[in-house]
Amino acid sequence: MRENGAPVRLFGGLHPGLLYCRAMAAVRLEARELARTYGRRTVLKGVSFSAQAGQLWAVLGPNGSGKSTLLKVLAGLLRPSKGATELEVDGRRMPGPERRVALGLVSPEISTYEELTGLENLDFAARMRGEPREPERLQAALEAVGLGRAAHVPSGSYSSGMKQRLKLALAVQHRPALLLLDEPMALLDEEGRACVRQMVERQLVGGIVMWATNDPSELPRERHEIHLGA
Amino acid sequence: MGRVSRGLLSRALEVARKDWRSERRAQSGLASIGLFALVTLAVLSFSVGPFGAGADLQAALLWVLLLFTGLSGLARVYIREVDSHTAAHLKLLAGPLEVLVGKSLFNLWLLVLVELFVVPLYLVLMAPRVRDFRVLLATLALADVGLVAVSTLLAAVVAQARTRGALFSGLAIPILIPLLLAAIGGTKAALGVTPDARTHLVMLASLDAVLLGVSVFLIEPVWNE
Repeated sequence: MRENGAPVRLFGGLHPGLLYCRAMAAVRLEARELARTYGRRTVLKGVSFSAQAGQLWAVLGPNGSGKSTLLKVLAGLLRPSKGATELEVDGRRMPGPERRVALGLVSPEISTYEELTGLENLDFAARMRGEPREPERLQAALEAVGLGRAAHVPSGSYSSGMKQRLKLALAVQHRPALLLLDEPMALLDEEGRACVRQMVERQLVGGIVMWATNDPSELPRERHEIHLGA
Repeated sequence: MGRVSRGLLSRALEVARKDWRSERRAQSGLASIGLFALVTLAVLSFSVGPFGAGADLQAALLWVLLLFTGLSGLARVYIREVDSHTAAHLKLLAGPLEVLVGKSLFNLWLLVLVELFVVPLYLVLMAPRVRDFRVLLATLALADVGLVAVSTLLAAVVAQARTRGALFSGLAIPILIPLLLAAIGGTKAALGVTPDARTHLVMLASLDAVLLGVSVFLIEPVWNE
């Protein structure tokens, strides 16, 4: 969207059209009796919940309880051994290929392409999702996570905190209906943590957030909870 | 259907472009394949020489060179994604078929680049008399497609395994033997050893169709956990 020939930018570079659309869309995530086994070891068993737009769901549990596994199953990276998940946006079910466009994931097990710059990483993801080429929007997304000056630097030379910020930018650049966060505060300084909180606030305007963490104190007070490994 | 194909192809091209951009900066794959090919060619040249082998042996040696050059480097496309922990990131952006096509296009480009250098050098150092360059080029093109189809699919298979090198070669070589024999036959025809090029070229094209079809069919269960 342009005004007098210049691109319109909001805080964080959010396109006003996208913000409006996300606010109006009805998003629902349902999980029914999810289970996942690795050989003889059962990591997830009988996990069921129903999440609506505007809700934050905290995934809590001790190490090895299956928090990361649950997020990976919800993201479609792992098939559940039993049970099913369903993501609906505006009353329309999102099957496998479409779900990829509707979700974002931040995880310690995911890395960005180190030979590519921060901007190139975002550009690749945008092209794969079929989004129009808007370099200024991508630059704004990097600035929103404090990586504006490092946009043209290969991400392999980023510090661990900068890499985490790049993952955040990648997860939210397309305003997903479902944002999955696995230890998003890891490796971040206070400014980075503030970025995460702001992103979650924006995401909750019409979207769902699933947040897995070992530290419940970093979570917002208003939340639903899933306790694993109990 | 047409729109689906165009969407798949455009995303596959983005995957290939991303791999090529990474390769240009890291220069690890191209350098290792190129170096392997040069060293092997140098050994052949010094040990056999331009007058030490008949045309049929020269045809076979060319394909031994190209086969092992391919095996030395074409598996990296998937292994690199797993080792650098970008496989899950890629799965969030693309389906298994788009990734397979993209990485196959990248591998084909890599192999062609190496052959643009190695094959002319082979012709100079080993001095086979090529009677029909069109048949030679057609043989190279068709055999490359088959070699890339097998290598790329098996790369996806072994990427998660621990003993990748041995497993990759162990799986690839038996599957590639028919392709190799047909490629040698086509090259012999190009060198004038046998008159019939058509049979071998048809065999190569048929094998390509089968191998590509099998790759498309198998990639989904291989790539998704």
